[in-house]
Amino acid sequence: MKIDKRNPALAIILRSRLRFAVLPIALLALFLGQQLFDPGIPTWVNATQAAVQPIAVCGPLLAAFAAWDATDFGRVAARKRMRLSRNGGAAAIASVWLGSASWAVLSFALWATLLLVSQVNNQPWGTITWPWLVSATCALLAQVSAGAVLGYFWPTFLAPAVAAVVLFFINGAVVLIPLLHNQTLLSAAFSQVQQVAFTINLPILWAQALWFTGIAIIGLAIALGSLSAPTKTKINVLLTGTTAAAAGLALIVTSPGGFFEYTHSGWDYVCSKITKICVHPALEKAIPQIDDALEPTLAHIERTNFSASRYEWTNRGLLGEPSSGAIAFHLDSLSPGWKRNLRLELSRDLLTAGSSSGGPCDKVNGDADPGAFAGLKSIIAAWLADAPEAALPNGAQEIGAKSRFDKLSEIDRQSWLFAHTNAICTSTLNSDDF
Amino acid sequence: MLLRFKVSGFLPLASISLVLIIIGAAFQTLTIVIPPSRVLLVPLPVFAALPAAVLVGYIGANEPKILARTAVRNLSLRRLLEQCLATVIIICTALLVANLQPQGNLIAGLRDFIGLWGLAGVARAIMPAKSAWFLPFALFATSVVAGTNGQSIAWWAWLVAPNDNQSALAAAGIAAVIGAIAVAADPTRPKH
Repeated sequence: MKIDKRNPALAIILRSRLRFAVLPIALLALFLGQQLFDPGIPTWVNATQAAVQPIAVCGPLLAAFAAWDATDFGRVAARKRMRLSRNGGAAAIASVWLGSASWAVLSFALWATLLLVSQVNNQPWGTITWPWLVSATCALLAQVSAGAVLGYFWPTFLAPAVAAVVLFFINGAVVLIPLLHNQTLLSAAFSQVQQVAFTINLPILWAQALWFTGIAIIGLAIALGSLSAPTKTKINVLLTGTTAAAAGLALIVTSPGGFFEYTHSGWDYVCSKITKICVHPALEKAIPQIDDALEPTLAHIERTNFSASRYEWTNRGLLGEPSSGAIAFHLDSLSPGWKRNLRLELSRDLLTAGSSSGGPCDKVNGDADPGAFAGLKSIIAAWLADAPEAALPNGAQEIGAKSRFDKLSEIDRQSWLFAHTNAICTSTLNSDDF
Repeated sequence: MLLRFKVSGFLPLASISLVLIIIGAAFQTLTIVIPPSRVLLVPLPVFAALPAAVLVGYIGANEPKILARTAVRNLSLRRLLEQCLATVIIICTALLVANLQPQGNLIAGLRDFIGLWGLAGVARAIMPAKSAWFLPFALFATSVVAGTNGQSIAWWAWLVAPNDNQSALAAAGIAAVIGAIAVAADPTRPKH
């Protein structure tokens, strides 16, 4: 490695192999980010997530290039030259580390900016979550630092590959093998899928940033440890990194909340005038299409005790119950086939005990309910959703029941639904009921 | 011949790959759920295929360039033969020591192993020899992170497709053939 004697630090940064990786990795991240946009429902939360999540792939890739840079530095000839440089070993290590970090951050800034700017024309709902971008930058730095340490201590041709694969698997293992509260937030690859119903817990993102910064600084300290840097410098860097990482870890693990603040605050439903379909403001532009999609199901349940005066979009899972007297439906994006999926999910939820749909089956204990995916209930769900292929009767008796049900008129089916509500909800329906 | 094997790193690289694939085969019923809501089930042999394929792709990658300039015989062809030999040994051993499960997880792992090895060969042809890991890793990680929307698997994410997916099998085969051609041709070989 040739070192420019006039400005060795700048020369090392400009010679970094990461400069060749900036554009290809940014392009890969753009491809990845594009896959994560939820079609038809543009929100800044989703755009931020699309900008952040590629770190799971691109972080280990950038770390591998950092490891490659460090392998050069780890060779004896280069290290001797570094030791003789005017600023000593500490400055040399810091230059290599800074070079890798600078190019990695540049790559992230490039793809994040392009992904966010590409959404401006869609007029997304909400605001960009800046702390999420900051914590993602710190996560990237932590990975690059880990890659550089590996390359420095193990300067072989395998170091880049091992850095990429091992970091990818470590990130995955931290997410997949939970031992601590909020442990997933300690992984550089963790990225929560957007849920517009909830606000993001911003303090935990700052704690994440602190944790990752600490890890990055510890990496630098480990690299310094093997060089003839002043002991005081080594200890100071190590203490700074350890303190930051410990503080971040403590804040994340002891935080009572997770990535989201699970409260429905900061937004009010927006409703259509005639059908009373009420949605989160992020879905406001899609109301006419949602109206159109739900129209067949709402027509089928009209004049039955499954109908309601209001149909509310809610999130799935926690706090997903609709307000009193309303029926809940769920929608993530307007991706191909969404209209059929929306109707089918609503129909199945309505017929399933304890599904928090707000319908008559909601009050029944759903522990023993097999749901409406197959069997007799699926015949009714398929009719409600206008999706005949979703009817999956089991055996000859149920097939006979389906053919009898198919022959009924619309009004007769509605009357039948009204009369058999209790049997449907308690899962005591049998073929003879049809 | 033994010297050649030593220079190319055949024994250590092939042995580690073999161990990885055998571990994958031994725990082939173990599937890993990729969170959060973009649900994907990836069997362990598929994860083992990535490092194993990259290591096999590295056979011969670290040999001095002077060898290619001075060798009487075509080293690229030898490198291809060594990598193919390692691949065959690994696949046969995995099939011998592990029973094939009805889920076919081992089949998916071996399919990916062959495909990723091909990608490593392509990466070596278009990038510096030590970058053989780049393409396999980039495609694997991208497939795991964004290869599915929870309902279907993207056409390019064949690495995480079920074992009975014919398109995925074809993609792996094509990648292997192109990779083999790339290793044999070796456009980065120094001119005599």
